[in-house]
Parts: sequence; structure tokens; C-alpha cells
Amino acid sequence: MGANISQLERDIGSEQFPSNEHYFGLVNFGNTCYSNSVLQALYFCKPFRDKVLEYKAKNKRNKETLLTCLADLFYSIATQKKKVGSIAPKKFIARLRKEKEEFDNYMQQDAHEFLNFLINHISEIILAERQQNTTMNNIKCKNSGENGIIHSQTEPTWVHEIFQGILTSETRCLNCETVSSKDEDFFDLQVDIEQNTSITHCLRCFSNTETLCSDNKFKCDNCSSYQEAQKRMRVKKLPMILALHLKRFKYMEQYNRHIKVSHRVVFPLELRLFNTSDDAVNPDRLYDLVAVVIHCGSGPNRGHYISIVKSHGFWLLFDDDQVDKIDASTIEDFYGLTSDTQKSSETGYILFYQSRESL
Amino acid sequence: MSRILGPKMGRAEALCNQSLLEAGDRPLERTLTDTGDVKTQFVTREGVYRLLTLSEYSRPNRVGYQSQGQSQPQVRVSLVTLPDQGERICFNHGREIYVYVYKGIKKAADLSKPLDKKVYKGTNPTCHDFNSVSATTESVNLLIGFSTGQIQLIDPIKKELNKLFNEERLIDKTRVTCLRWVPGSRSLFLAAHASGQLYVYNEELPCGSTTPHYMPFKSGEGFTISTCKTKSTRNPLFRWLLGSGSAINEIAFGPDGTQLAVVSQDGQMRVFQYDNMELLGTARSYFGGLLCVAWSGDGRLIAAGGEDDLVTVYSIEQKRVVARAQGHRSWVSAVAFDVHLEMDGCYRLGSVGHDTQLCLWEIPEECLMPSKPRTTKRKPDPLQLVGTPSCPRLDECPILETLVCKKIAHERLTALAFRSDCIVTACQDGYVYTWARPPSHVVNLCVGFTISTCKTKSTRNPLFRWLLGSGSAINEIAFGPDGTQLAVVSQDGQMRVFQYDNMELLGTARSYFGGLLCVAWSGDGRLIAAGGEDDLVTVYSIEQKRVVARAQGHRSWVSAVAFDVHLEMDGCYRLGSVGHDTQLCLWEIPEECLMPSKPRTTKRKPDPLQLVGTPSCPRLDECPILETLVCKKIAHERLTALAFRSDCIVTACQDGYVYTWARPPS
Repeated sequence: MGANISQLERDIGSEQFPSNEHYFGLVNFGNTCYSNSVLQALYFCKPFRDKVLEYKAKNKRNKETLLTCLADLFYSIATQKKKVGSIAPKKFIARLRKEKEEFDNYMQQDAHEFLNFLINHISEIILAERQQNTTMNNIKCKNSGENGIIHSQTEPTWVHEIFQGILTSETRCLNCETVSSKDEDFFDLQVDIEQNTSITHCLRCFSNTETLCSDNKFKCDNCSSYQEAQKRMRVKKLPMILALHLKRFKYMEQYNRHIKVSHRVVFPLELRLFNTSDDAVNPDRLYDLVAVVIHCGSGPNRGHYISIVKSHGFWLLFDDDQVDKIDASTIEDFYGLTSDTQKSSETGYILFYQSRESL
Repeated sequence: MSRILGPKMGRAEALCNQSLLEAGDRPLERTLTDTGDVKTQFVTREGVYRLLTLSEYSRPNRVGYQSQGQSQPQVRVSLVTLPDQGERICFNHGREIYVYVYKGIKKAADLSKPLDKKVYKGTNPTCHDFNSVSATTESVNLLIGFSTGQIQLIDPIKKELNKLFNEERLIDKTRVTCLRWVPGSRSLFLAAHASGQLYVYNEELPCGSTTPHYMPFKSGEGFTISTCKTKSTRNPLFRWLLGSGSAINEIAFGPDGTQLAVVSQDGQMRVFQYDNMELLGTARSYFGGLLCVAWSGDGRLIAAGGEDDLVTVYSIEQKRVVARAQGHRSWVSAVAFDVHLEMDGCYRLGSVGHDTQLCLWEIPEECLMPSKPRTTKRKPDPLQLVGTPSCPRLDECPILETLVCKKIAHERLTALAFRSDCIVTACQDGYVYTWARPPSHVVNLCVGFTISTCKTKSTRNPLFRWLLGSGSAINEIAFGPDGTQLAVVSQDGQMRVFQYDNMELLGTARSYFGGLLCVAWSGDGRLIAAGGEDDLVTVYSIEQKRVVARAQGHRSWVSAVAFDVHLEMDGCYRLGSVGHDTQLCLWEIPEECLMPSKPRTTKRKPDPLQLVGTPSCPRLDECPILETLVCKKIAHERLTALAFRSDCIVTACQDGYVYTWARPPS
């Protein structure tokens, strides 16, 4: 362990080691790598880290919530005397297990479910605290399943400012040709993947026109009846941090379980979106890859999560309590497999792209 | 073993489904659920391209599959044509490099006898380049670059040569990403590295035993060129540092060898005047690194493919991105122009990518018109990266849709080359594939020509050999009135006009169908008439590079054609011909025909199998039809020759009689 720590410092070099930066691994409490990998990725999403630390500074005497536990954990990493090492996120995990019973066990969990829960939960905490402080009424904020879509009528929280984007779904009734559009907020996009494609292509397909027919017809207000319709979803507001969830766990009816899809999906270090709506404010926003949560193994309930993050121009690999500097060319190893002969793979699972102007 | 069998099984299935292949050439609406069967043929407007399964090149021992690390170097292909028209192919795979005789579409590959093969330890070959200038049938110089930075020079035929450059990695420790011989040079070459540096080497010079010290030589926006500072000249001669050290992914010299395009991982393409090291222009990917680059045959366009799944097309004259080509579903790993199908202002572009697809596009002329800058008032990009001539916004630049977009492999594709008779592709699993061009239409379409000299110690005949198209009979040739231009008509229906002295192709025309049998120039050298098996005389304007009229009246093939230069006045032409129908026909070509015509905007489905509807072969209703002034049966046997003299017309007949017709007394 000690040897590894000094190895990381040696790899980076004492002169190159960024001041005010700490690279701390997170101890695994039995299958908590799903949480560790996501926490590391979020820690290195600078706008998020800054806001969490700001929250910590402003809210000294709050009752314990998952957000205060997260803030304490980030604060603890950021204020370590040593540059590198490992830390046990004990309080955070304990709180997490209290907050959500699905996580209250020693089973492997889905890192994306955890991310989705965490971001939504934090924004709820902030809204609840805001409600306490003001006399605002009727704040409604609830989760809905697909695409982490949230409905919120209130002023956005800093979580929204960082992660929230808007999808606009345009539906054209094939009977009356009326086009109706509806906006939905999202915290991350859940993207279907295909073999030998790029994330760019998968995002284009995300916005392909889909025909609503048979038992999935569209209720047209104009026709006052269910009609066949064409629908497509495009991005209207591009978030500051674009989190992309690659749907690598596919339910297979014949096996009655989820299997891992190890398709090779390449993701560039720079990204722009092709699937923006015509009224998008900043359709050519340029994103840089800042973190990737990687799933290692053969299935959703077995295997391991690690993460790679970009910090001060170099890449680091966080594997629970281990931290290593890696060459950018190593990222190639996490695109996926071009053949199905191997069961196990190390593949990018959640991609975090940060807009360049916020870097 | 099963892995090797996999693709073959897929291909066999695909062969059974040949009849199901769509004949159209429009891209199909892509579906989300791709069944993913691999194509062994595809259709373009010139015909069907077929995979030649016997012309597969790979390691000699096809079974020995070894588990490979994920980050193996890209499988690249180098080809060279020797003076005897023989070809050699080199490709790398994993730790290995192979050199074979490349037999193209003529003969099956003989994998049992590689000319050379090498297996390296501790390093992988990453790129290579043959020297086409110094190549002879007995000797060819091949450069090989390595993942650990070294460069090797070998002769895979003679096997005597073996030099190493950057052996101690004192010059650069990073991966060699691309090697190119300087065009026309036997000794100078460029080596691009992952460090973002490009070095100029002379293979005759040593690399020195110390780390080179550099002296600034020249710098410009985003690049610095240094020379090596030593008493005796050593390698590298120059070091070019581009950008801020992002890996250079590929470099390519333009067709005339004076310009150099460089693409990098930072998404930049830089074009230099190579000799004076001036930056001529830059372009940028929409996002992500640029991985590959290629020039059009006329050196006016550069295409670069990248991590944005697009091919960016840049005009060097207009210094702007003129189009983006979409169709790939993943990163574009190799790009090339099909120079054999390149005609005046019409370009064919191809690329292969990580999506295992081959994509072909045509670049329409409209793209190349200087565009007025769009006046959409939009918030300028705070980063100054998008919305510029070198990186237009998505809606500021035409998006090309594919002519062909086909999944042709199971593994990602890594190399692409257009040859006169075939297309060569390579796959990351170490296989090099040859696709035969459409057999009959290659004749119709192939405007390509090859001119060779006779290589002997003492000068002998023939001085030159011109090979036109792919070997159809040449029926007649005619020099223009000033003697500098040569028109050639062939059985493939093609007329080719050359500048004779510098052997440049000036233009082409095509019969409506069938062979062209005879050709003649107008007295002022502006028009060429060609008669053929379509019973028509096709009139071509050399200035406008298009067919300006078709003359009808014959009832059979046209065997001889001539302009009556004695009746030729400013812009008024008298044309005559004789044919198998025993008739003499005379036409006058009205001046209207010769006015530059506005292109007809009839929107019609392009004929998938013929090249009709172009300036060199317009559709029947796209071009004026001339009716005869005179059309007379003047013999009992077919007529074979025609000459206009000042006082008479001379005709000849297949029965051996030559007739003289007196002109009217003036």
C-alpha cells in the first residue's frame, strides 16, 4: 500500500503534482465499488465538487443527510495533509444504506442507479432545506424512472445548474399532422448501444424518429383520440456536465436475467452533440471527457466498478483504495469488445463530459 | 480458430443473399436494429463492386490466432508499383510485418511465399512506406516505424539493406505514427510521432550518438521548426513541432509533392507549403481528434476523417471547409479520394472506420462554389472554435449523404486505397481485401490512362506506350489543327482529349452507347466530332468540356467524320459524315449550341448503372439534336472515308472505289 502511494507520487513527479489537489482512494466495505467509482467521478467534476464544498462551508450545523455526509467526505479528501492515500467513506455508506433500502445490503449495485439516486436525492435535500428556510409552498419534486427525468417547478438548485439539461420531444400526429412538443428535464441520458459504433452515433440514434403505433398510440389533443404518431427527442438545453449512461445491461427473456453487452463503443475526448433541437440555445457546445465509470466483469450483479478521471491534464485510475496514473492511450482499453467470444470485459459505463467553458 | 471461421461464414451467407441486395444507390434509412450481415458486394452508379475472396492477403498461416492486447497498432497497408508494372504490398499486424507480391484482381494471392516477413520483440510496427522513386524490379526501399519510436529501413526484395534510425530513442521516445518519403526523393523522409513532432531524415546521414540540440529555424501560428545544431550534418535535419504536442495521426503530401497536410489528435489539420514551410491553411474537426487525411487527384481538396464520425472536406484554394460527409457510425480510420473516377469538378470520396463500414460519397460541384458567408447573426463561440471557415457550424456547411454505406467486415477497418481496377481495404484482424471494380463499366467509366517509357540502355522504339482505359480497341486518333492536342476514340465509347506534349487529359466525352469509330477536329480547334455505333455524331466543345450537340440522320454506324473547314466561318460549322448506311450526311452546327448552357435542373433519378446525365454524356433531352442539311445515299456499299477539299469532297467505299464530288462553281 505504502509503496503504491509513493509510486503514484513518483509517477506524477513532485514538481508536476498539482497544488491543492489530493488523490485519495476509497476503501471498499464489501461491494461498495459502485458507490466509490461514482463518487470519484463526481469529485473530479470540478463544478460539482466546488458546490459540495461550498455547501459544507455554508451549512455547519445541519442535521445529518446524505448531502452532509457527501460534503464531509469531499471536505475530508480536500483537506488531507498528504497528497495521496486512501480514506474510508464509512459515514456516507452508512447513511446511504439508511436512506434507500435497495442499497442496504452487501450486494453489487448498479452504479448508474446509484448516480441517479444520489443526484436526485441531493437536489431534493437542497429543495427541502430551501423550503424550510423560506415559506414557499407546494414544492413538488419527484423522480420518474426513464432517463432520470425530473419535474420541478421551482428555481433550479446548483445540482440543476450543473447536471440538468432539457429534452424536447416533438410528436407529429399522423392523422391531423399537428406537431406538439413537450419539454422534459434530465440529469443524464440513457443511451442504447450498438456494436462497433461511437457514442456520437448512439446519441444520434437516441434522437431517431420513432413511430408510435398499435398499443403504443399517441393521445392527440387535436383529434381527441389515440392516433399513430411520429416522435423524436432532441436536446434543447445542453447541461454543463453531460452524463451519458451506456445501456450495457440488457434483459434477455430467454435467460430471464440481464446480460452484459460488451459492444465496442468508442468515446472521444472531445464531444459535440448532433441531436440538438432547432431552438437549442448553444447547439455546438464543446464538451471534454472528464470522468468515466467503468464496469469490469460479465454481468450486472457480478464484477467490479472502477473509474478513470482527468485531473490537471493527466488521467488517473481509481480502483477502490488504489490510485494509479495512467496514460491517455489506456482509455482505448475501455471501449469494449468487437467479438462476443469473451464473456468478461472492462467497458465504459457512465461517461461524464464537461462543457469547455466551465472548465 | 472459430474466430477466423466467423467472417467466412458470414460472407458465405451474404453470398447466398446476393439477389436481395438493393440495386439503388441512395442511402437507406438506418434502422436501430442492425442485423449486421457483412456485404461481399455493393452497387454504385458505375456498377457492382465484388470482393475477391481469392485475393485476400494475410499472415501465411491463417490459423495461428493469438489473443491480442486491445491496443494493437492499426493495420496499415503500403502499395508500390514497380517499373515493370508489378506491385508489392506491405502490411503490419500485431508484432509482425509482411511483404507480398500484390497480384490485384489478376491472380489469387499466394500466401505461402511472402517476399519478406518480420516478427519483432518488445515493439510493434505501426506504419510503413515504400519509396516509389527508387523502386526497381530487384530492389525497393521500405521504411518501417515502431511503437517505441525507432525507424527501420529495409529492402524486402534484395534483403541487403537494414538501417536503423532513432535506435537509441534519443530523437523521440514516442510511437511513430506515420512515415512518408518526400515525393521525388530517394533519401529524404518524414517521420511523425505521437509527441506531436515531425522529423525530416536523410537516410544517408547518421543519427548521432547524443541527444540532438535544436536551433529555431522558422515558426508560425501553432508550429515551430528547428534544425539540428551540430558541426557535421546529422539526423534529424529538421524538427517540426505542431500545436502543443498532441499526437500527429497522419501526414499526406499533395499530388504535386509540394504541399503537406498533417492531422493531429487535437482535431487540427494543417496544410503547409513543404519547401518554404509556410502554413497555407487549417481546418478543424467538429470535435475530437482527426485520424486520417488524403488529397484529391487534382490537389484542390483535402479530406480528413476523425473522432466526430465525419469526413471533413477542405478546399485549399478557398481556405475553408466546403463540406462534411456523414454516414459512419463510429470513428473514421482511413480516407481516400478515388482519383480514377475523378473528373473535372466531380470527386469521389471514400472512407472506412471503426464501424466496419465502407462509405462512398460524391462531392457535388455546388459545394465548391465560393459561398457567400451566411449572415445568420449568432452568438460567436466564446472559444472561437466553431463558426469559422476552418470549422463551420453544422448548418453553415453542406452535409454530404453517402452514395454507398456498407458493413464489409466484422472487425474495424483500418486502411483504404483506390486502384485503377480495384479497391483495397484492410481490417484490424490482419486481413487485406481486394474489391474488383465493376467489370464492364470500368471500361465505360475509367478515364484513367497510364503512359510508360521503354526502359533500356540504348534508346529504342517505342519511346512511349499509352494505355487508355482498360484496353478497349482504339479506333481512331486525330491531332487538332495546331498540332498540340490529340483526340482518341475507343471501342469503349470513350473519347479522350489530351494535351499531347505534357500528356495531360483535357477532357472526355462518351457515345450515347456503343463504341466510337471515328473522330475529327473543326478548323478552329474548338470542336471535336466523333461518330459511333449509336448512329450519331457527338459534338464536343473542348473549351466548355461538354457535349454540345448530337447529330442524327444516319441509319447505321458512322464510319468517318470530318468538318468542312473550307465553309467554316466565325462560329458556324459544317459537319459531314459517312456510314455503314451508304449515306453521306451534312449538318450545320448553329451558334446557339455553343453558348455555355445553364445546367438543366431536371431532377431525375441518376441512372444507377450508366454514367449518363453528365457533361461528357448528356441525356437525350439534355442536349440539342441536329437534323441533317443533306442526307443522301451515294453508294451501294458502306462508306468508309470522307475528306473535304477546297474544290471537292472525297469519299471512299468498302468495295475499293474512291469518289470525287466537285463543289458547286462559286
